[in-house]
Amino acid sequence: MISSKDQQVLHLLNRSAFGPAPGDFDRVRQAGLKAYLEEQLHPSQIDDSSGEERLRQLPTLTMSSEQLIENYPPRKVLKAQGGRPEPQNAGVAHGQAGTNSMEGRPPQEPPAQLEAERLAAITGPQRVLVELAREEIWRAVYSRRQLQEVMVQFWMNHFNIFAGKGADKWLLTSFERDAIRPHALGKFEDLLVATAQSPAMLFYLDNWRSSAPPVSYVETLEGRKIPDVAEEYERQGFMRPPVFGGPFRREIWLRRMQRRRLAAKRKSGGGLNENYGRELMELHTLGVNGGYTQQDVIEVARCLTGWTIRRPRQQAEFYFNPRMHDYNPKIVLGHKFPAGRGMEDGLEVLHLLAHHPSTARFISTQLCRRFVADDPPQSVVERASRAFQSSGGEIRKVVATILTSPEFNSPAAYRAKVKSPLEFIASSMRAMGADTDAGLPVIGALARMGHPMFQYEAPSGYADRASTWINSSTLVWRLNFAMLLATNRIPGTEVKLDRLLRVSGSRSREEQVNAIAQQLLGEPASPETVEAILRKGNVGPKFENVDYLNGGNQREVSTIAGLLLASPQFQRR
Amino acid sequence: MPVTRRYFLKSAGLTLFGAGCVPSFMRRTAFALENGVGRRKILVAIFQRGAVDGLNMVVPFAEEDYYSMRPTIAIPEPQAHAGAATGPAAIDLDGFFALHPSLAQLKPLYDAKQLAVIHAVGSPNNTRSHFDAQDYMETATPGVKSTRDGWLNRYMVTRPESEATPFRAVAVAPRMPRTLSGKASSLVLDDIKSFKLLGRPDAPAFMPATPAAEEDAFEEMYASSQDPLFSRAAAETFEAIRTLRHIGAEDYQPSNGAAYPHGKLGQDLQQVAQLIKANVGLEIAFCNVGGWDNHVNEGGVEGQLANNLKEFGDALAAFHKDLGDRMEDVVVLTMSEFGRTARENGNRGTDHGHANAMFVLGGPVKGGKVYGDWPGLKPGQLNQDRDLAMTTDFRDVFAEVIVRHLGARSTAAVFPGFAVAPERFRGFLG
Repeated sequence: MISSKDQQVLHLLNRSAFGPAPGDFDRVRQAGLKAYLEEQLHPSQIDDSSGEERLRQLPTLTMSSEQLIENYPPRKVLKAQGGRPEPQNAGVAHGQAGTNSMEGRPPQEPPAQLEAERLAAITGPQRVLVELAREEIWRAVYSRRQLQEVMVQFWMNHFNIFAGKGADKWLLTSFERDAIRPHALGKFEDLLVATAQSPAMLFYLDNWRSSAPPVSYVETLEGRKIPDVAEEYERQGFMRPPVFGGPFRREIWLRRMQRRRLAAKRKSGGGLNENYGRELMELHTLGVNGGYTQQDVIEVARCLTGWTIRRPRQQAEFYFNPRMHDYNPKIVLGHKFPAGRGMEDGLEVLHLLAHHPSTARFISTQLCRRFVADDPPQSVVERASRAFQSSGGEIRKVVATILTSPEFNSPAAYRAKVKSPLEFIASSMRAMGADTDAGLPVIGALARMGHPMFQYEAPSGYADRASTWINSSTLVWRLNFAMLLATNRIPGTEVKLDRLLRVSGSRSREEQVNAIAQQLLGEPASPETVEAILRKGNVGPKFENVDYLNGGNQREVSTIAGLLLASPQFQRR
Repeated sequence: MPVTRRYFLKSAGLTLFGAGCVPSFMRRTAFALENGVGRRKILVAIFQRGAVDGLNMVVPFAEEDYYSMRPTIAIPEPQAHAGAATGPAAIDLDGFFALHPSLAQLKPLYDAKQLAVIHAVGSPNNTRSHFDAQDYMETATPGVKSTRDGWLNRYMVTRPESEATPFRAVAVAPRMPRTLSGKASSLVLDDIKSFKLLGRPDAPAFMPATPAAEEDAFEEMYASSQDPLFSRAAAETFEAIRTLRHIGAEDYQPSNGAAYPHGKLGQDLQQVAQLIKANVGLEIAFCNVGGWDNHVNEGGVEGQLANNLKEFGDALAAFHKDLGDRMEDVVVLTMSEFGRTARENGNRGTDHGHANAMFVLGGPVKGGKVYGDWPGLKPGQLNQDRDLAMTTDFRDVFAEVIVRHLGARSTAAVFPGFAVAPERFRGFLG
């Protein structure tokens, strides 16, 4: 067990939340770990009106995909309508804007106002993505439903979607709001079905184009071969082939049906697409070693034929198109799916996968990796996996099991995880009590640290490991961000040093560094870090000789804060 | 201006340390710059992530089945073969294979015998998972999931260099690729221009406003850290920051009128060229290029794949032009985790397949030739009745590159469980 109560509180806040914000530590200590966790596990019972207040500035968050597509057309369309072109560098993708604005801002204009103008100038789908990114950052920093936010980020990565693929830039808002967020701590099967039916996922992994493989052929009276659709249409109950009238009449009917089918096929593109079927098993449920074959991939894809979108760039909503569905019998993982069923095929496949033991194990492993360690002990994975199975995939139960396990509270798990860029940025802001617009400089910093939001191309999402985030290049930006934040040089983000100035008071330099560390890190800084800061600090004036409320001290306190946020210790949670 | 060791150490702000305590890694870069160790054999590996469609990249146009299996996405055969000219068509290489028309800029390099193709190269493992297949290729241990380090990292371990600089292996990417992960240290350098600390104009007296002083404060904190993950990454970071400042990383002009395309690969290769010319001791560079997973509407002579290939080919050609004579030391090797199905699917795209094509470009390459045994596309010749079959193990290509180009003498540790045999080398190098 982690020995001290204070460390347990800090550990829980570091893992189940984006680090402690001012006041959190005392609040959890008073309420008790158990009560705090219980509260966090039921986010709907937490009043988050203060956290949600800011979100009202982001009109796109409440719009339907259709409204987003209509209100935020791509630049080409906008130009044709005589609208204002998108400003250069408004990129979520590469964060250029962020870095530029950090390095040099015109001194004459108040930075907050300038930032607000820059944000307001962003148009087109870029605006949709920037607002969604700002929501994620704001919620991570300010929401009182911290565990829910941690889980939303976990599932957004688990069911990763690349915004750069076609219509997905307009569809992610609904994906986050309607598929992920409502089920983040709910039943895994509900979450899985919600993602499977989300236009964003249907589009990203191509299932919306997947339809029954070509049917068998019959020979016409002139000896031509045409697809035999009779059996299929009969099964669907659309229209029965004529019983009387002989082969001629039957052929007329066949040709009419064929035209219909071809029309449907043109619309859908026609034919099976394995992309979603494969990633559904490999990445979303069973895991790559979960015991499925290439034939299972095909069978699952067949079950899900007809799960499509009406029109991705206009009417982006899920619907089941019976004409695209494959009505033949299927066998998935040894289970027989009888012929002639429609949308139930897909629902049954998702049910089968959601409750499969391999899924319980795979999801539990991923959750343990998020909450305990990059390579979590098998014992905690098994414990979580049992909770998954016995609860029928209640995510809340699995998370509770992990967060109360002895493995979670073991010294080996303490600060064992490296913060992801979002975790690092959000925890820095929380520690500093920052007031941020979560604007382009922050979004840009995330990109520089290796997490350009919604821009990871592959459906695997990021590997939740230290090696994903820590390298020579991303480290530069962690150091830069820490120093810029603490010294108030991020346009649109403001930190107040009052609290740190108060605690640092007029004491010895070492005591002052330790007092600031206690505020920011939640515990004393490592002796090496204190030593390094003190050595570098010896040439300056002593704190007690400066009127600290007059700002003379602010520069030093902010530099110490910047160094502490940049310290190796604060890179871990 | 001649670069002297003294100048370098001074410009790097190292006089702060005093002569006796210059960190050893700094001495190494100084040594490299001074003695021209930087001029060495160089490998640039480019990973086409997402499985490029090798059959449309290097088209087997003489294969009838190619056209019958790809009714909407096939690339028309070269015009000399087609008779009447009918718009864009594949660019003939040898009467059997042809380049996608988007790769037109590579044709002169092929004709100059600087570019070779290896076709039907792939993995003995049949996985169709992008992520497993990428791991297998990057670790060069197909079928073995437990391998953590990358093949090029293991190569570096087998040839330790006492004078290696942190620039020996550089991934121009936002994250460390598996290929370069492992015991030997490699650098991740996503963007040379922004690879610096910003300094603070209003810094307090104890931390002067120069970037070097800020580096100093951060560096002290990280160098003394008990956290090896961070102290190791930081050591590389700080040396790289100083070296890049020294070589004047911010203003780079490509030579010979080379114009890199605007996409990420073009920018990444330009940075590789910059590092090569700066003689910082680069031996291995690694770049990624994505966007190849075309399950839907892949396109033929136009469309998604065509656009991606255009950027890919133009970037390679610009790199070659920019480096000029320096290409004598350089081999560029392209790879992708697997190929795509021989038949197009119902959505005018292709699904996950098996064998693929690789390009090898550079002065040392015996180019102007398509290497490998062609397995054919007829029924019975396909892998699992759906994909191009594999006739060259990708490890034989990798091995040929590190043995014949980089001069590796022992390969056993680089390719565990795989007996490298020079008689299986395809002979695209020396």
